[in-house]
Amino acid sequence: AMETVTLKSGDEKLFQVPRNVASKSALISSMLETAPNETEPIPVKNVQSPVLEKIIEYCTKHANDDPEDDEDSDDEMDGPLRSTDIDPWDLKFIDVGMEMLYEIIMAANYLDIKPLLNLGCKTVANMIKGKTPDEIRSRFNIPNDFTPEEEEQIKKENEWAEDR
Amino acid sequence: MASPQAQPRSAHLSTLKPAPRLFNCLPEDILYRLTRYLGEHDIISLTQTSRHLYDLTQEESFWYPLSIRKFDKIMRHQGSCRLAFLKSRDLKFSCAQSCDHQAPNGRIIVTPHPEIADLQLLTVLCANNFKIAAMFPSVPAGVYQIVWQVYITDETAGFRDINFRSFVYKRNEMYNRSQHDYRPKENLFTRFPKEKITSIISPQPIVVMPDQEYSTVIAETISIGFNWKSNILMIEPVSNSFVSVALRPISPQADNGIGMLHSQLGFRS
Repeated sequence: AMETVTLKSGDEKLFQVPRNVASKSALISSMLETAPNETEPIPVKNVQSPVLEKIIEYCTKHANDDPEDDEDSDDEMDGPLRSTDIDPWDLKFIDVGMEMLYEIIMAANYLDIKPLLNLGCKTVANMIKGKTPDEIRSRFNIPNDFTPEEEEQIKKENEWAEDR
Repeated sequence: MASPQAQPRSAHLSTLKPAPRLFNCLPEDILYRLTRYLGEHDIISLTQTSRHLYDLTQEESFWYPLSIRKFDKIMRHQGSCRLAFLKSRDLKFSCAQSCDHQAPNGRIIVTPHPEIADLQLLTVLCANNFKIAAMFPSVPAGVYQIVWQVYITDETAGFRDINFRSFVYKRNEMYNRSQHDYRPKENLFTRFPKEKITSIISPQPIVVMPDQEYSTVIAETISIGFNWKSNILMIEPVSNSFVSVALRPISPQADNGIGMLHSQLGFRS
């Protein structure tokens, strides 16, 4: 039978998942290595069940990916990385509301699942590209908390960016 | 497969809070990871949206990787990496990141700029055939003017001819290039005032197609002539890492025909 582990979300819901799926998280993987015979549920305190469910969905799909693909690439040294090369399944997976997107990014960061973290960042980057500060605020519901004087000063500081 | 021992998924999702504010508490390391996928304009636009994001990007360390990406090293202006990043865009267009130059029958020297602090002049002395080539890495898709800045010192300057050429090299495919050549019929330089920095705009724009995004653009001079009587000075920052030739994005709104070209090609505005 396939070896499984049990994860316990922050709201104390239990998820039984194959060990190789759970090991997509570098954090959980190292916990499993430290205590290989541990039978107690692994607490994932910072992640609530709806988010953990999404994370497991992603890890299940990508359980058999080449681990080398998970490594961070350094090729941004000669320019921004491409954010448009997203797999169609991933694209559908990450087509979620803004709050869930934020939770997935934070959870991927906490659980150390680099490809998922990169997927989240690419998605956000695609929403930002080509937009003005006002448009970005509106898209992400960011309150403008600058005073008019500060806003004027920052605009002046970055004046070149206005002249696109 | 996952076996959630809890409520059905739709019930979970319906409990999520409305009006999400993704960036209100985004940690710095994730913000940096995000900027790896953004060009300079987008990074600056993002930092202008809220106090939290603005404050995060005031940290010098935030700009180190961006500086390395842009300049290939940590560049500082008045001790600030962030200022160097912004300052490099003062001309409102992209500066070339590196420059290659040769004057087989003359000399090229670097001298301090007489008017602008922190800048140096790349001076071509009495060469009858010189070449200056500048490289712009990672150019986003768009239509650009190529702007050379020239400073002629001698009232008796008598350049016969200077031409400009540019190439787009597709990312990681240096053999695959498109070329724009312009060879003016008359002496361009005699038209310009002496002892004053003059911008020369290459008459043909360079086009980086969407499928060439983040390609390398090379802009170079082609000088064919003799009987040089004066010096031509190219402004170069003190770092020697970029020269005054620049790519200036052409606004798609510009009512000059070039804007038409921009929209016909389907670039995003």
